[in-house]
Amino acid sequence: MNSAPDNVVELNSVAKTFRDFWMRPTVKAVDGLDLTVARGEVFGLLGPNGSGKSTTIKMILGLIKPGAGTVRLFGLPPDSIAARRRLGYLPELSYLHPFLTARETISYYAGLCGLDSRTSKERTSQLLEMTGLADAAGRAVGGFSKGMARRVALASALVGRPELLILDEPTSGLDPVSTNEVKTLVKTLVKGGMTILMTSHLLADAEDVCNRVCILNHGRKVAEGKIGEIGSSLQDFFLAKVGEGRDFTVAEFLR
Amino acid sequence: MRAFLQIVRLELVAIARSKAMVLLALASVAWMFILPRIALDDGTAEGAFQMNVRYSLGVVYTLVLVSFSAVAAGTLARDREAKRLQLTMVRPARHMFIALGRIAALTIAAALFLGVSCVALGLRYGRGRTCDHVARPVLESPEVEARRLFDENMRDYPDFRAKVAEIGERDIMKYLVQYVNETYQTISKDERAEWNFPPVGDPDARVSVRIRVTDTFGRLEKPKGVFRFEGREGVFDHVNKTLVRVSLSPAAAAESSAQKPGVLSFSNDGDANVTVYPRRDLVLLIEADGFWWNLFRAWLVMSAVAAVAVSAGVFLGASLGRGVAGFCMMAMLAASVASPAALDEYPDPMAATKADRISLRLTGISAFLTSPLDRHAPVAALEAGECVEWREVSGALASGFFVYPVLFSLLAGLVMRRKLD
Repeated sequence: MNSAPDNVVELNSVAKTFRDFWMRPTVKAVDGLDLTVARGEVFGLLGPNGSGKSTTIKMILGLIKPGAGTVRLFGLPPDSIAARRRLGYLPELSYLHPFLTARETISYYAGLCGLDSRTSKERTSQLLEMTGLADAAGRAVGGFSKGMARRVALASALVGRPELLILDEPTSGLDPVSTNEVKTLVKTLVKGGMTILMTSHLLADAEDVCNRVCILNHGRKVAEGKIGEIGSSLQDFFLAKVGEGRDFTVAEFLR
Repeated sequence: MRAFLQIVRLELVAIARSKAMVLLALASVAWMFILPRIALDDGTAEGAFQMNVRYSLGVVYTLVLVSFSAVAAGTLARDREAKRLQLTMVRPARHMFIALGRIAALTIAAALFLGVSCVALGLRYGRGRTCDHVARPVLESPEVEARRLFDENMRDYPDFRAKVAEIGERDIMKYLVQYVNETYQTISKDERAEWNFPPVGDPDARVSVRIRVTDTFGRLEKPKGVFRFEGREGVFDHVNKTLVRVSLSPAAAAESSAQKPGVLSFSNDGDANVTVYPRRDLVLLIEADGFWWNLFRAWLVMSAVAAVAVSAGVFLGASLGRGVAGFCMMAMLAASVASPAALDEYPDPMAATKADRISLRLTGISAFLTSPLDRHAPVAALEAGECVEWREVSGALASGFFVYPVLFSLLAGLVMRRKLD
């Protein structure tokens, strides 16, 4: 399969079924998903819990292999070193080593990205400054608040100057001020030429920053397009019914 | 390479900032200094030395193997459970290096722990003490001799052929190897026995004979005689213990100087027969170098064995949960100690039932798989004053610092994605 040069992420008929110890299928997490993320856009992957967002992200990151279909990052297999060199990832929770200081954490990820010690030092200082953590740089991150830990994780994701930044629920658990800061940062990064793929429960987040969104439910694509274009069909869809056995309104989805 | 070094550094920082590991280090050092003050020995300098080596360095070595195996089994598993591992795995570092970096860091830390204990031991016993090369009689290997016996019996005795058909050649060969190893030689009064050893050549080398003296019923004998080797001789008399070391000094006697190179002779001048198990109980000791050098070689071997244990632990932790990986690692360590002992102690395989033979075979497999952990005995060599040979050191270094870490980290890299769903 030849990837179009402007497509940073490309998923073709991707499916993933989880199995138990005896290899019996338990959950079909993703089912025949086609998706493309173009260079320079902010793409939102939206959907309720269990819709397959995290599984999709893990397949894009090369952490799990799809059961069917193909995933390409920059036209490369997602678990290749060349693809990972161009990737930054902020998980839903920060998952930091509690015994490292903020500076050591960012510097560790800089080293993993292959930066030499001088560049690593410079970039770590810049990112500490940018995320407002310069004063707490020498403190162990185990003692940080959730917001501060999130900023360290974001700085760590950015330290390799990725071309594609994957943000999993970037505003999860943040107060309104921090949420706005993240949104502003996303807009700034995109202006600088970065491509961003983010997941969210909240349509409001996507509306503020995303160029295009894809709505997932039960592992299937429900809708895809620009926010303005799919807004009404989205609303109609959610007002009608999403899922089996329960109503799911846009009002619920929005908040 | 930078990514690898970062992973090594991260693990070292984790160890340095772990309260449990700092406590373990302090306890190890304290034990090295406390033991000599509290241990009761047999009142001789040699007895005190042997006791201190066995229970100070021996205990620290065991402690390091157990604790670092447990830490190794937990390091990747813990990071995966806390979802930190996936953050490292999405960076441009080969997954194999994530495992190899952990192995390297844990090996460095284990080597430091052991190094401090070795230095403490060296400061106490390093001055004036030496170690010896151990040479054994040049005899046909027990397996070759057993095979010859087997062939002879197959040719001459129909009953033997029936027994082989019933029990199997493998078990009978094992029995015959045991039999050959236990073959003894009786040296009668006024008789002279000779054994071939690798020639020493150097006339200035200090040589001794170490022999275990018992009669055929395992009782201490009161032998008397003279050992001669390449122009040296040593009188063997007033024996009051079963394991005897006879120092050989340059001799003027024509009988000694006329000996062929590498031939050790014993003339029985006593009133009783002397029983010798040449394969088991007769060695030539040739002075090598000082205690510090031997300690250094033992440290290298111990560190290499720790590296093997750590490599296996990291591999297990890459694919299993923390609890299961830790349990498997401890079971492996226990099997490495218990399996060879079980094989040694097991009764005559010809008298065993089929179920026993299957269990014995499984124990044999377990002993083979865990042999890298049990193959070397550097503490026992130090304690006995035997030289830890460079040949053994190079083998241990190749397997502990290269073969097993690379093999296990490659495997760990392949299975690391398991359980990330």
